[in-house]
Amino acid sequence: MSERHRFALILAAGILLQAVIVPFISLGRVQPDIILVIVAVAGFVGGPGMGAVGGFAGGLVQDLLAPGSMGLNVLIKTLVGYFSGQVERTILGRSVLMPFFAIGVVSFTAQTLFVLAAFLFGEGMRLMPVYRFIIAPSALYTAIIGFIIVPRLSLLLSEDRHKTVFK
Amino acid sequence: MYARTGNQNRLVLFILIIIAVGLITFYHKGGKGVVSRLERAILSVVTPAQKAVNSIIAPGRRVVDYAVGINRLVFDNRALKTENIRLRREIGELKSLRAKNARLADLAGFRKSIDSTTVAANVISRSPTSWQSLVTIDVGLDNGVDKEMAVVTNRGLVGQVIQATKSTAIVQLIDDRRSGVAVEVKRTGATGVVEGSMDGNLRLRFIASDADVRGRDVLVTSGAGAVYPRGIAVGTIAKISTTPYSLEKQISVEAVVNQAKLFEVLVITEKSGADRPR
Repeated sequence: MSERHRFALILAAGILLQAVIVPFISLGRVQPDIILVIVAVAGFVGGPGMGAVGGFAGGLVQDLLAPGSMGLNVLIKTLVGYFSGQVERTILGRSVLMPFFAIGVVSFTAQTLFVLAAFLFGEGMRLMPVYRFIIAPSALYTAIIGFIIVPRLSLLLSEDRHKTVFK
Repeated sequence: MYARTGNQNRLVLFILIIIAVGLITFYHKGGKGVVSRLERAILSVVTPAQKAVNSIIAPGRRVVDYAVGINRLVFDNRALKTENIRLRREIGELKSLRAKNARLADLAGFRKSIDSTTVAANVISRSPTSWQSLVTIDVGLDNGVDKEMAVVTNRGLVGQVIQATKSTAIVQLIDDRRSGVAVEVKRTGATGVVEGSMDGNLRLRFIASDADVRGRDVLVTSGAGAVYPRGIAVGTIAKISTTPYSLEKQISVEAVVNQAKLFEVLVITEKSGADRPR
């Protein structure tokens, strides 16, 4: 099976998990973003191009799953996928905890970009409650999920089946 | 296979961003185009899985709730005995008040909201993202449920249907950041709009700066617009504040319906004659 087919299958599984399981494990509005983890790993393993395309696909399906809003997830995940591909090449220092920190930073950045984009497109909000009660806890939750699944995901997505990221 | 040059990657990124911005700019909620069809297609794949998982998890959740509830019962029992004595005294007073209320209700021409045609539904799933407040219900086009129909419980307004497949529908809750409900203050008739937000809080906006509003004032739907019938309870005013540099009061609202504990809802499929748009 080619790497692109593997990525498509993993993304499909991630979308189903996000739509079907995540609502049951969410804490109010605090939810992990499994699609973001998959997109970030696609960038880490496959580079900026793969990350951008993967982010576009993942964001598009995520927007289709939640009608009433279109395009913000597409935009943010495209950017996150692209820059994940850029960042992995420059990360210095390898650690078993790096997936936790990397996914935490990616999640925090993605949500900040989302809020900024929503603000630029005319949605008013109060930033402090949003950061305190949604962005920070969601980034932590996603980082925990990332710590668990990133090593395995990177093995599945990589051309070199022995390569893992951050090691 | 992945070894594109930096310029190629930047070109790919540029093209994808243009498409994404185009989607944001030209997407129209409620349209019937390609995007709407894609939404329905994706939902028709995902919602059967949501139903299946809900049917497995829901009984387990009830068992957990029951076990937790038993512990509370011991403490509640003691408090209830004291409360019982106080309540017996109140019953006598309430009986005479009830008779008076019935007469006043006739005089005011009070109508129950179940005047309209409704369809009962179960909530089978919730929003798959943090930034939207949506639930999925297990009725759809085959049950007469369609977009822009109000969803309520016996306590008050829940939201409106924004997408429907044959057997399921997506409901946008009133605390969703894209939701706006035209309301009036029940006590004074002052009108405004209750809007949701990214942090899930409700705010009353577009109300006259000299409008007579107080804490605990009840807000009901005003009937403006084609979606919500008039007179459905929306929330109560929780806090009113002003800032030195703003003409508008900052009014926060507490919803009458607990959005976190929605299990069964009613969809208003046909409004009563007085509530239909003129």
